[in-house]
Order: sequence, then C-alpha cells, then structure tokens
Amino acid sequence: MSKGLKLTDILVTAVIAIVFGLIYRIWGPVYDLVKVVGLQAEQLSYGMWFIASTVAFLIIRKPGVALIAEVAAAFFEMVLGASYSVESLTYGIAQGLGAEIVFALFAYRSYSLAAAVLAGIGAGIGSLAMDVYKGYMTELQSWNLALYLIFRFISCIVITGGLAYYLVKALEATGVTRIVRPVSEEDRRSLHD
Amino acid sequence: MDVAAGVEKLRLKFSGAPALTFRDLSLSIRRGERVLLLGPSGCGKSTLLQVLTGLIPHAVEVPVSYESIVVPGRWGFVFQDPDTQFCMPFVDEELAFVLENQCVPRGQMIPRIEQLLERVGLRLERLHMPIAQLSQGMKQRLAIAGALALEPDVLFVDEPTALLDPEGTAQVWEAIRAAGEGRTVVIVEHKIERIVDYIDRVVLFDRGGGITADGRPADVFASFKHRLVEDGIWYPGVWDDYTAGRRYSGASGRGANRKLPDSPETTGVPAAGGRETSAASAGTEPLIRLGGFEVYRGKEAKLRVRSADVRPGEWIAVVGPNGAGKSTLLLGLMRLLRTSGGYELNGRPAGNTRELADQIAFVFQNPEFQFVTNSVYAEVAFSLRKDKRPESEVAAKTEQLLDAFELADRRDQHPFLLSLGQKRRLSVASAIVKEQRILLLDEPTFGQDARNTFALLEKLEEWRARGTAIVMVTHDPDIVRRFATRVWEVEAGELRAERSPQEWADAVEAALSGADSQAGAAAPQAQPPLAEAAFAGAREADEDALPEPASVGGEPADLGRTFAAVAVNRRKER
Repeated sequence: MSKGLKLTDILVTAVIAIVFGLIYRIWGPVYDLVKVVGLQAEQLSYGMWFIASTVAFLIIRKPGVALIAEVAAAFFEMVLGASYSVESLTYGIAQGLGAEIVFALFAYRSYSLAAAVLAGIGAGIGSLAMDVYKGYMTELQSWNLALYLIFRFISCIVITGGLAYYLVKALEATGVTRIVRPVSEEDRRSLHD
Repeated sequence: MDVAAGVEKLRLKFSGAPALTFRDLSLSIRRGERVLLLGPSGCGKSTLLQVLTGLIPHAVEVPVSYESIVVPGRWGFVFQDPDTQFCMPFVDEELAFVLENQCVPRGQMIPRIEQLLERVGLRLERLHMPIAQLSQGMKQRLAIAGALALEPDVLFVDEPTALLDPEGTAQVWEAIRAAGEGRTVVIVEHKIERIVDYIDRVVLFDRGGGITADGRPADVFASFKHRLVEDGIWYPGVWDDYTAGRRYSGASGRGANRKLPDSPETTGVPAAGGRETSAASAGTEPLIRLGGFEVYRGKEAKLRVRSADVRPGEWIAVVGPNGAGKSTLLLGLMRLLRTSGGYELNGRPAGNTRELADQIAFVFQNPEFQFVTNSVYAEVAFSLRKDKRPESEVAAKTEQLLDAFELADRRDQHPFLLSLGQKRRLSVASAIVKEQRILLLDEPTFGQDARNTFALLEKLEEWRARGTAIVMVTHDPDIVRRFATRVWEVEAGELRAERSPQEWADAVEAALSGADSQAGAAAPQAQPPLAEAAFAGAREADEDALPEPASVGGEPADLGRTFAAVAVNRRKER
C-alpha cells in the first residue's frame, strides 16, 4: 500500500475540512466576544483555528493530510465570509505547515497525545510568525506579550492537541476510522498466520 | 473456460479483526454467468465483490493477498444504499459525469442519457431533476443506469434492494434484468424471491468465509434449505414456512379461534380469522383516543385524523404510499411535531413529549438515530438512569432486557459497532425499558433479514398478548396479514381505517403481481421454475427445519412435491 494519498483520503480530508471550516467561521465572533474579558484572554481560544490539521492527521495518518486539511478549512472559512478575509487563508497555510512539519519530524509514525500537542504548538508558531508581520505583537509591553504568548500556547496544547486527540479517540470507539487508516505491516503479516 | 472475474487463494483480514475473513478462497466466474452469492450476514460477500473489482485494495486499503486474480476490464457496481451512490445533485449531471469520464462527446450525451434511463425503466418528466426528489426505488434504478453507462462486461450488484419496499424491489430487479442482458452478473442478495429464476449459479458461503456449496440453484436450494432459514434469507415461501412452523403458532396460542375486539369507532370489522387479543381489551377504555387530530410540519397540517382509537392488545399497522404521512402520524402521537385537536391518553388530555414518554415507547426507523451513549449497556440503562432510579433496579432491569434481546454478550460494545439486526434489537430494548403500554414503531423490520424479522415480530406479539398496544408503520403485506389486528391506511394526509389486514394485504399483493404481468415478466413465469421445488417442499418439512435463532442446524426440506409454480404465481392462486 502506498503512502501517497488516495482519492478516499482526499475526500475524507475534504469533508473534515468543510466541517471545521464552518466551525472556524463561527469561531471568529466567539473570539471577538471573549476579547471583552481583556488581558489577552481571547488567545486562550485561538487554538481552535488549527484543530483541523491535527484531527485530520489523527484520523487519516498520512503525509500531507494535516496541511491539506488546514488550508482547505481556512479556505472554506474565508469563502463563508470570515472577518479576516484573505488572511484567514494565508494564516491557514502557515498554521498547516507548522503542524505538518511537526508530524513530519515524527516521520508520520506517532499518533499520540504528545504528537498532537506538539503539532498544535507547531501550528501556533506558524500563526505567531504571521502575527509578527501582520499584527501588533512587537508593539506590546513585555508583560502583555508574555500573556499573549503563554495563552496562545496553552490554547495550542489544550485545544489543538488535547481536544483533537480525544475527539478522534471518541470516533475510534464507534469504528468509523478503521476503514480510512492505512494498512500496517502487522496487519499484512497476520495474513499469513 | 472464459473467466470474467475470479480469484485464487484469496486471503483477507480487516485491521483489528480477530480472524481472517477469507482463508485461501478461490472462486471464478465464467463469462455470461448469472451468479448469486448467498450466506449469513457479515461473512464477507460484499467484501469479495470489492476484491473482484479491485476496489480492495486500490480504493479501500485492506490487507489482502492472493495467488492470482482476474479483474474484469470493464465493470459496474451497484451498492445497497440509494442515498450514498451519487456525486451530483441532478439526474442528468450524474449520468453526464459518468459519460464524461468515458470521453463521450458532449453532443452525444443527452441521447445516451435518455437511452440509459429508458433501459432501466426510469421515466422522468425532465432530465434535469434533483435526485433527492426521486423515490428510493428510482434512485437505485438511476444507480443501475450509471453502472450501465460504463458499458461493463460484468455487473456487480450488492444487495440493491435491501433498503427498498416491495414495489421498489420489483422495479429494481426488472431494471437489473434489462441491464444484465448480454453481460455477466454477480449478485449478493438476501431477498431472492424475484431472482431465483434469473440466476444460473448459486455460491453458498459459510460464516467463516468458506464456500459450502456451488452449483445450480435447484441443487443448492434442495440440499441446503436449512441454511437458507438459518441465514435469514428471504426465499420464496419463507412466510409460509414460518407460519406453518412451531414457533409462530406456539407464540401466543394463535390458531383458528381469534376474535377482534369490539370497536365501534372503526368500521369494517374483518371477516374470518380475527385475532384473540388479551382478555382485558374487549370493551375496555381505549388507551389513545384521537378526535379531529392534526399534525403539523411547519405551518401546514400534514396529517388529519377524524377519529381513531388505540386499545390494549391491538396491533395496528399504519400503511400507505411513501410520503403519505405515516411517520408524521407517529411523530405526532409522540408530540415530537406540533399537533392540534383531541388527543386523549388514558382518558386524560395528552401532555408533552416527556410525559408521553412514560406511557409510550417510540422506536425510530433508523436505529442509529436513537443511540446516545457509548455502550450497549448504557444505552438500555439510559432512561432509567435519567429517572434517577436506584442503580440496583437499573442493573436488574437492564440485565433482563439484554438477555431477552440476546445482547448480553455485547454489553460493552459501542452501539455503532453492532450489526443491523443487533442495532434494531438495541433500539427496541432501550425504548421499551419502562414497560410502556403503547409501542410506536417506524418500519422496525426494514432492511432486516428473515430471522431477525421473525424474532422481533414474535417479541412484539408476546407483548401484545400481555396487553401492550402496538402501532407500527410497515410496507410489508406479509407482516400485516399475519400479525396486525387492524390497519390504518394513510393516504395524502388522511387516515382511513376501513379495511381489514387481510383485505389490505390481498389488495397490495394483487397490485404487485398485476404490475409484474403488465411489465411483461411473462418470460420468467413461463419457464418451468427450477428452484421452486426446494421451497415448495417445505410445507411438509419437519417443524424442526425452523431453528431457534441461537441454535444451529435443522433438517433439509422434504422433497415430496414435484416442480410446482413459481412462488409469485403461488401467491396469486391463493
């Protein structure tokens, strides 16, 4: 079985991306609402915007899936009229790349909570890279910047990492993920027992 | 021997499965053959079709190995679910998509599409019709047209009528006969009544994915009749066998002496062979009384009931054409849709859904829609736990139900991992947990095999005999004839309760047979039916030929009878 993406993989990724694209679109107003609390509290919710990459990879477990899912979801968010307009897409590319690189560093073999969390952080770094250029990060006072970064990373860990992992675990219990995952060597060997 | 499709020494194992699905299986299909693959649910027949077409392992990754394989150069596949086979929203676009992939020039597409639709008997007012507006039978015929558009050498059909009503089933088999002309056809099916005379080879699989029998239909059916019963196949005469068997007549002391309760509201008490309802029912107060009852979807009243009632021990079959409002009626009775008008429950005006849930149990058509927990046990225990019953009571009740529904060994499994029959049993078990006196079921036997269907009907009959009132939406005239005490006919949003179960069932079967002869199905009926002898002999067979669900084995049918008429003809003669 090749490690390349088959049509079914792409279709499943696309469906996941559509669902999360919608969530991303709705998350914009949620984020704005949390801003009212002040003190960079809305950064705690930021991790939701990377979650398609980790969920898609944990379900399908193939190279490229995290990037495709994130970009597709970001694109769909943009098309639905997100307030960030084209930035939704460009940020999505950076975030997807961040997650994809982390999964690649694990040689696409790790599907653990740790891998998901680190991928979340990777995506977070991608978003921060974009923020440095497009946002006002560098203008912030150090205490403010500290809050910003810490909350952002907490969000990556909890939402992009933890929430994605447990979401996929719940899906696995229903058995729907069995058919989309690639075949392992162990499965192939057990054919000849 | 010209092999159209085949595989040698196939080994296949799904990830995480405890055992191999196929161990060194070899099967080859000759050009021009019409093969039927039969066997118990879950034994791998559909998987085998997917291997023979190359879908496994190229589209779906499953560990598989074989010595050699012959995949047809051009093949078409028709799947089971009418709703999941299309990628375009419109009929013409769907077929155009297939033609596009065949590099058919644009100018030739419309004539080709019209030709294909004509072939499968699909007459539409216009080509640019949304697929969602088609009936399920029409959708399946469209799927067959799509497969035909590929100009396949081999046509694979995987339980195409499992999710269709009797009318849709008849239409689809007609379309497949038309589509299969001049081609090799490989069929997996459970409802074989309409195709026993069409196929020329039967391959019978066992539970472990090996082949028990492979030969001419007459031979296989004659020697392995007990397997058909065990595997829950809907063969011609299956209802007659069941009725003649011990379990049906023993189930509730039925027989010739049955009487319908006195029901002044409903006209037309049926003629011979009424049903003995429980002692309490005759002359008792109705459990439900409807008067000027209307059920709304949005602003519109979709269903009107002038007057009707439901008494203990009744089994009311709600019948009618698709879209007439049968499900709407049930949802209205449960107040899941807005209603107006007189609705009395146990003599008092009915309350909201929560109050109704204590008296009325509701079972959805798709069992998956009811599942809210992650394990079978939790699913059954759910309502009791919500009512804050003591855990000991919950445990006792749940265990009892799990045993009664044969789900005890699956108690920790996720509901979505169960088979269709098990899901259905779970949905009924979790609905009836409060021992409600009224049970509403929306097509509970839909898509089920014969064994599960009979088991469920017997269970319902048990409850009915104890005084539970059953209101069940169904399409199946066989069920109505043998189990219903009354029929509510719903047509265009109006409820009528005039005909008896027998009258209605007769009318429906006459209409179906009439449609057969009209459509020129003379050819199959004219030929001496090969396989019918095996089925025909069943009437004299030993009663033990009908095993309990859990047991194995039974005795082959007694072949005292000679070749007789086709099962469809037999029904007409009755």
